[in-house]
Order: sequence, then C-alpha cells, then structure tokens
Amino acid sequence: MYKYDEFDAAIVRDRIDQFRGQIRRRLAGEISEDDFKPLRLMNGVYLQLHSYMLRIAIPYGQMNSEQLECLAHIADTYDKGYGHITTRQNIQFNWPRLVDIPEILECLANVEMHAIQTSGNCIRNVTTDQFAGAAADEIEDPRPWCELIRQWSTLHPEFSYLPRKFKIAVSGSRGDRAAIRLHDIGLQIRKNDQGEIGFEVIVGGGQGRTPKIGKTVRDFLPAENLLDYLEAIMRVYNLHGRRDNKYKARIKILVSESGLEAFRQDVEKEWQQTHTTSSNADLVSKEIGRLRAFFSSPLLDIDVVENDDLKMRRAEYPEFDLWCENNLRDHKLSSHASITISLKPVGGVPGDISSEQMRKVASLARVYGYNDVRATHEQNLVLPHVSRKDLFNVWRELKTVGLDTPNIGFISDIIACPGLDYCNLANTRSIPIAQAIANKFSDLALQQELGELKIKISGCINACGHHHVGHIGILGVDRKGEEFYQISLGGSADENAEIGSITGPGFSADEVPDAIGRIIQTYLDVRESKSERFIDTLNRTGPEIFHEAIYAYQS
Amino acid sequence: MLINRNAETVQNDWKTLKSGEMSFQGMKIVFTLKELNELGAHPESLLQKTAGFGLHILSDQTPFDFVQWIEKADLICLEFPKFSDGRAYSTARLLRGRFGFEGEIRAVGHVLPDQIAFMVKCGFDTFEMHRGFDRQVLKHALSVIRHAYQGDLNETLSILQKRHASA
Repeated sequence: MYKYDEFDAAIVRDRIDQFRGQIRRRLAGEISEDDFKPLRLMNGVYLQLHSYMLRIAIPYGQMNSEQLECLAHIADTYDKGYGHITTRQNIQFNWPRLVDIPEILECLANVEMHAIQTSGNCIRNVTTDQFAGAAADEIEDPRPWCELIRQWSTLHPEFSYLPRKFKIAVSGSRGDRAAIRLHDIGLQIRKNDQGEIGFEVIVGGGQGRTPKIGKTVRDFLPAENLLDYLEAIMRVYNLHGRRDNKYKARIKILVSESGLEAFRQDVEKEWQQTHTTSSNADLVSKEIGRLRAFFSSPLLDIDVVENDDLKMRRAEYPEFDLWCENNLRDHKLSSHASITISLKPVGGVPGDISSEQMRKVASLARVYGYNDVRATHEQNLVLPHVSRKDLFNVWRELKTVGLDTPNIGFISDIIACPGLDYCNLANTRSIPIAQAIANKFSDLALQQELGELKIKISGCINACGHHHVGHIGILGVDRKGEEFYQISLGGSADENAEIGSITGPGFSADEVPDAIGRIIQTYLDVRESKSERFIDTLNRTGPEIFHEAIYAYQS
Repeated sequence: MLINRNAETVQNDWKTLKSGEMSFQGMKIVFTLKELNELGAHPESLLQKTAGFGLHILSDQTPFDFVQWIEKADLICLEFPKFSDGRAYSTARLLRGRFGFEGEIRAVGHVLPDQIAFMVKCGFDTFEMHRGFDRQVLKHALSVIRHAYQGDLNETLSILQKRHASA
C-alpha cells in the first residue's frame, strides 16, 4: 500500500497545526460556531445529537494492521471502545471531546492517517472496490489512481468551497463493487484496442432526495488526462452548480438542468483549454509510475494448496463450512481467497466494531493477510489476500471475538445509517429496524435459502443508508411525530444500477419485519429456481405481485 | 481594512462610484458591470478620465461576462457574498490562467482569515478584512501549510513537480 513521503507527512502535520490553532480560537471564543463550522467539517468533526463525531478517512478503504491498531487505541482512549465503519469506507467515532481532537489527529498522523475532507462541501474520500488488487475480474488496479486523486483533491485551493459535497469512486473491474454510477463522478477503468488504459467518466449520480444514476460524459479518457479532466468538471460545477438551494446543489442537478449534452460541451471546452495551456498529463504519467510501485501484488505464497486438508476441515466443522461458503470470494490466484468479515451479527449495530475486534483483525492481517485490511461500503471488513491453507485458522480466531457471522450478501447483511440514535439530520431510527429484521430472519438456513438479498435502510430522505439502491430499500419518514417506514423494491448499486420504486403507504416500525416477510414469501413462491436471485425474480415478474403481497394483510 | 499577501496593511486608494456622480476625473474608481452598462460610457473615454479603472464582480458573474473589460482593468474585486460561496476561487484562477490578467485581484465581502491561503494560490493579491483580526493568526494561516499537491499561479512548485523535478 501507499507510504507517505516527506511531503505527504508534512501536509498532514501542518494541517494538524492549523486545526489546533482554529480549535484554540474557537474554545477562546475568537471564532463563532458559524465561522468555525466549515473548518471543523473539513477536518472531519461533526456536531451530532449527543456529542461531536470524528470521521477518519480510510483512503479508498485500505489500511494496514498498524493503522487498525491505532484506531483501536483511539476507540479505547478517546471514545467508548468501538468505532463505526461507514458507507464511504471510512470509520467514525461517536463520542470524542473537541479538546482531544488534535491529539487524536496526532495519533493518526503517526500511522499516516488523517480526517481531512471527510466532511464539508469539498471533495471527499475517494472510494473503490474492496477487492482491488485481488479480484479475478480486474482490468487494472484502481488504487494508484485513487491515491493520485486523493493527493490532487487534498486541500485543493480552488475546490474547497463547492456548492455541495463531492464524491468520486473508481472501479477497476468488470463488475462494479464501488457503486460508481451513484457518485458525483464515477470512473470506470477501461482498456482500448491498443491495450492502453483509460477511463469511462460518469457524472451526476447520487442518492439523497433526488436519486440519479450517473451519465457517461466520456467513453474513454486517456489515463494521463485524468486530473485535467477532473479539473474541468470541477470548475464547471464550482462556477455553475446551484448555490440557492442546498437540496439542489449537487452536480446531478446541474447535469439534469443543463442537459447532458450542454454539460458535456462545457466540460470539453474547459478541458481543451486546460489541456493546451496547463496540462498535468506529463506529471500524471510520471507520478502514476511512482504510485504503481506501492501497489504491486504482495509476494503471495503459492504453495500447492492442501485442498484435502481444507475439505476435511469443512466436513468436520459445519460452521466453518458455512462461513467458507458465504464469506469467501475467489482470488485471482486459485491458492488464495478474499475473506469478508461480517460486521452484521444478529442484534448488532451494522458496521460497529469494538477495539478488541479491531486488534484481532489487525493481528490476523499481519500473520495471514499481508498486512492488508479493507473497509467496504457495505460496512464490513475484508482480508483481500489469504492463503486457502490458513482459512481455518483465521476463521477460528475470528470466532473468538464474534466476527464469524456467515451472512455476506444475505438478508441480515444490512446497510443502515446511524439514524436518530446519533444523527441530528435523521427523522427516524434505522439501527433498531435493521436489528428487528436481522432478528426475524436470523435462521441461517433460511438466509441461505434466500440467497443474495440486499436490504438498505435510511433514517431520513438524505439516504445515507442507500435505501434507493437496496433490492429492498427502507426509508424512515416522520409523520406527525410518528416514525413510518416506506418500502421500495428493485434498487441496485452495481453495474446495472437502478433506483428502487416505492411500493405504497409506509409501515410503523413494528410492522416492518412482517412486511419484509411477506415480500420474501412471495419471492420463494414465484422464483423459478433457487439460483434465481430475489432481484432477478423481481425484474422478471415486475413489482406488482410483491406490492399486492405487502399490503395483502389489510384486506 | 485592506491587507496584502504578507498580512501587511495596505492603503486603499480606490473609490466606488457614488450614485449620480460623474466627476471621477483623476480618481481610481471601481465600477460594477451594472454601472458600466448604465453609464454607457465608451471604454476609451472612461479610461482617459480615470487614474485607475477597477471592476467589482459579483459571485454569479464569470470572466466570460466581462471579457471586453479584463485587459483594460487595473483592479478586479471579486465579491464573496458568503465565505462559503467559492465561485470566486475559480473566477480568479480563470482571470490569471486563461485571460492572462496581470493587475490586482482583490477579495471583498465575507472574507475569513482562514481562507486567505487558498485565495493566494488562486491568484488573489489583496483582501478586505471586515472584523477585527489578529495579525499573528493571519500570518500563521498564510504560512502553516508549507506544501501543496496542486500547481498554482505563483511559481511555487507543486509536490508532484518537486517529486519529479530531476526525472
């Protein structure tokens, strides 16, 4: 993974000095909360319902064991012993004190981490495929490009006071596991007929109040032009994005109001200018060469796999067998596998992880996983490179700290925003809904029978819980002081991205699990075979029979 | 109070146009685009009268809206209606990089000390500070971040340029 040089280190240290001064002035009353707000936000500090919250960047979701141990230390020393993995591959702590934040940032800087631009109307942490560098369907490792974008977007003098926040995601594989069509900019790495690398540039996707699937503004951008082109998009957005209404300020609104063709022309015109007057293409080519060296494949031990041994273990331990079946993913080397560690135990808070669990994962990554841990946008962790001969040991160790839940992609592997339990934007709770659903369908045999089924829950219309793109999406709305939950069907965040459609009137919190029960019963009744996933059945039959089923109890 | 890139106070000898006033003979005057439009003044005659010609640009006006005035201006004031309205960063950048404007670019309106370092990188020269400010705070704000990943218009090398300078 990437290692800081003197410049990267200096940026992070200087930024702490700067923020320490700003906090001191705030605490001394020299800056008003209004003027301080954007400063703290761009350093990852939110003010929530009960406390400040600190969101720490995990650049493109990758960290090493030392960094994860540092997060465990922060959880124990400055928080309540746990952290929360977010849908943008970051981690947040819900209970820090403002005065402690410079010290926390110092801890982070010691392990080459920071909280820069994890909030605010600026370019946020760039995200990618959690299996980058390990995936069998990879065209090119997206991480060097992500690191290039991380650096370019960090403390950008021109693009730090944008109309609204700005999210970029990169996919380097054929399958999209980074939801690139639901970002302000999505970049899909492609190879042309000459074998050259470039990007399909997708703009204007996003969720929130006005969900949109991003549109392609360029089919193939030569890779070395990436920063010039991003600069052109950002400049057009910074100058012309709406600033009169915060709910219409994202780039998706600019794209839809200008029309794709007009927006494309503006960007191309701007790009042609930058391209001829102050192109970064040469520097990008040199820098990407430097960056690629940091992401070369670890020296994977490709000893002949003791398949018999693994088979024996799986036969001997049914729980291990189940976990292997559900939580492993094929690695580009057949001798290895990628492990997804579920942070969705039944009854738990989706994405929460204790300091003890962090330390366990860190130590496993060090011993068995080439020191490489990923955070996923589905709020789980991944060990991308583990030899198949070590799987049993890893599983046994994970089990000691309750990290062996074998439910990846299943009905209980739910994305949920923090909701009204933490967030001051939320109208309703979402964590208890996730817990109630997971409890109702806790039977693993049933979960397995149902197969892939993505439930995503947001506690308000801002859609942090990605409900628009859930196979089943749940949106909490406040109706005269009462929590109601609208159910939508048919969303998807992958390469076939779709926005789900609302089924009808909402349900009270107590009614939601049963309503979900009626949906899955319908699925089991009408699916053609076990291999037809829920989303495929829904797409084949259309939503009507599901709608009927959801509201059947009322008649 | 007007300050420069070194956090030093500088004299502001520019005047804005009072309504109805036409006697700007020998003065340094800042005009809004609306005023220029209303005056219907011929640029050349206007420039002959004034000792200095300045423009006051609102945040929703881009350089493409006043191309004909850019090279005639000695000063361009870019207004921040709120500190969070970041359009003027791009406007300044375009004025310098695209239109080759070499006169003074001034930040006016809601300008906060913690923003000035970014403004300098985008090409601003002077800053109108409204509230009482601590000069030490301002100096620190201007110098605390020693490097930048991005190239700027001040011949400071970006981190990328420093890394690959010898290559």
